[in-house]
Amino acid sequence: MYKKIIIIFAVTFFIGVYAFNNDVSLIERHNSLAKQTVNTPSVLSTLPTFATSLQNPKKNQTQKLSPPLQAQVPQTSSIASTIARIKEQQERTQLQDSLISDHEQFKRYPEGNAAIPDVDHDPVLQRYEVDERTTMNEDKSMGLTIWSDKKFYLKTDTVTVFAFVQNNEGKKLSTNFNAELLDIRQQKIAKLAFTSTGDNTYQTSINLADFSSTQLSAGIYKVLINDPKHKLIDAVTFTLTQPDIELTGEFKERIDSDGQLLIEVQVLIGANSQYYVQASLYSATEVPIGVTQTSIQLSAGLHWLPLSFAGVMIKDAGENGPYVLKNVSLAKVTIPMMRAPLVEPGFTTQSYGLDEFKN
Amino acid sequence: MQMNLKHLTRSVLSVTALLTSFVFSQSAMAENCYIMVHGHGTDGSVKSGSNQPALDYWRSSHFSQYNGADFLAHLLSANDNYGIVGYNSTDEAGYPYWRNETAGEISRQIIAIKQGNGDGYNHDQAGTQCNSTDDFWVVSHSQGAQQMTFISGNAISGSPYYNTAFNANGSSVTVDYKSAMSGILGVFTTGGAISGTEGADRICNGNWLDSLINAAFLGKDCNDSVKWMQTNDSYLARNLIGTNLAAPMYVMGGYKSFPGIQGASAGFLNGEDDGYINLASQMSCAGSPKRSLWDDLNQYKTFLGIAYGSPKFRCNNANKGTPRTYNMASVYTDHDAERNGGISYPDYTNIENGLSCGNGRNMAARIGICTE
Repeated sequence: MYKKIIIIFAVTFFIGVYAFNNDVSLIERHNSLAKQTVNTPSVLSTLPTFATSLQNPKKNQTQKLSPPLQAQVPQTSSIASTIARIKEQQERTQLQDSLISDHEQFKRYPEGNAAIPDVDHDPVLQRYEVDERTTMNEDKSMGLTIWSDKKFYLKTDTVTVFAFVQNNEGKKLSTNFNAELLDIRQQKIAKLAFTSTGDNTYQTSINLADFSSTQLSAGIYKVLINDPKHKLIDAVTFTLTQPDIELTGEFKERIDSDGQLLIEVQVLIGANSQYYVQASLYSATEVPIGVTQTSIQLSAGLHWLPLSFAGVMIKDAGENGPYVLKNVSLAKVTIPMMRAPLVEPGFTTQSYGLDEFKN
Repeated sequence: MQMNLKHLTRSVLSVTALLTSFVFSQSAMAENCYIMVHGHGTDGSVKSGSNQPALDYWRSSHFSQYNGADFLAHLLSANDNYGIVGYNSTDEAGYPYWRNETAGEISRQIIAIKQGNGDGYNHDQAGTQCNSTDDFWVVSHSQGAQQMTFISGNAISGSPYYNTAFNANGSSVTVDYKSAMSGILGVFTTGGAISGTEGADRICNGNWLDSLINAAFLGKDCNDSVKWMQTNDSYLARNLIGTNLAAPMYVMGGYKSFPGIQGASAGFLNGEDDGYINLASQMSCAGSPKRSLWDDLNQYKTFLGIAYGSPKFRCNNANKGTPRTYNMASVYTDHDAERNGGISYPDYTNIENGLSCGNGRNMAARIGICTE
């Protein structure tokens, strides 16, 4: 009897060890490519990227792709155990120390949350920051600097683009620009004229409403700016956006059972699609606390979207309530992303105390 | 009977102890597995016998000075493993970084490598296929870094393109980025086109000198792949990701121009560069990817080309355009030598928040030394 039990135990153990070391062989493969395709999000049907592709047989050729694999791979917990093992090492490299520090920081909050160290590093604001671009000539004796007033424009907006040429002594030069508005296929839509603003800085404006929807549909556009006199060329791009999502101004709030601050925002959706919302929370005294995000498939109509801010993130900021939903970015998830202009709803919560949140 | 039972028990326990110690020693002495994601201009979908473009990417060279150089020879120590990822990044295919044929293919192959299935390539080094119990790292070059930014930035639930790529019809395709990034300890970028390259701008804007074009790296025309590598904000992967990356990203940048006449390409790129990619993009700095960054990763006011005063911008860990991104090194290496290890002991510049492990060695060896 004992012998049988021991044999069964041994056999079971060997099978277990074998399975442990060969877990791949036990994985069920799924070869059905049909499961891959879903309806949304999508590349904008109006985006010429694919129109171009369709005209080129080479680009349409079917490429042999790897079948999707069921994910029986090391999970997040294995990262934790690996980090724990590295921590136990007596000698560690700087990279390994950095890895430990990053891991502790990352795991402190839910993965979609992140603390904001200061206003300049608010990720929501950073999505909308406009960058000045400078292009130097080959001998670096002068440069062309250009920028637009925004990154995302609605059909009723006016795009303003600025430009100047500066020599390597920092002096702005008088010049003339040739400029064109191009679509994503690099096709010319309109010629643009720059005028001086008085200090050798030049600007041009594009009233988007002047163009029909067939001339300008939602997508990426480029303003190509050429200074032939100084042989300098560069371009700014902007997105003519059709986000199909807006805040209605209705909000709900509570501390949920996990001790997180949950703010629900009501949105009006114009079309069935995937949508993305990123929002930052500040104290009433303008101290940034953290950012959260959500991505969700929505149909046309009214919806409530939850925005969760981790209790521990709020406690780490050390700021008592009330809290302000400061900056909100709404977007329809297509290629390119149809991001709505920045919203500052100014919604203020009740005066929660820090001790009401859970770690 | 009693003796037999004792003997059997003793034998089973001995074997059990041996096997147990074996199992635990395996987990305590995990090996590194480096998952290699190549850059632009390689048809990594081809893998037939000795025709292995994705593997050859890491040991071929465009400049005779680097003939025979091999990134893996500098990267691997004893017991290290690697897995090659191959996807079609050629101009002929013209796939942007968000396509199923690029981001999707890379993710599926990462998953397969992590399962210990092997990468299907013939490794010169015996016994270097990855095991499922290894410590996993991703090593990327050039466009590979842009790809990994998109994948890692959409591998967290709530991200805009969570587990989503796009096919030729413009429809979305479900790709398991989350599983691809699960268990990845870190992503290394070498000469990464994280925020595109001014070279792509110039190709698309028509002011790149044709004779300097090196098709294997950058492309001959403004095809969709090159188009989505422009430095304008509208095209950047960093604007198509969520709040966090799924794994920390360690960035290394090169600031040496190419050997010979192609060294002139550096004159067309703003700030320091590796011949093709602006250093600000390689280091994922916040703001314009073509900002005039010096090799110490600072931007200064200049007069007649000479920097003066304190930096007006510092591309330290706090000033990155992507989350969870960390400075590793600024190395005197060009875009070709970055991927084949052609310069074994390059000069380097001390940078804020840089990592000193591997100082004095090339990017491949730095990764090997820092992760050993």
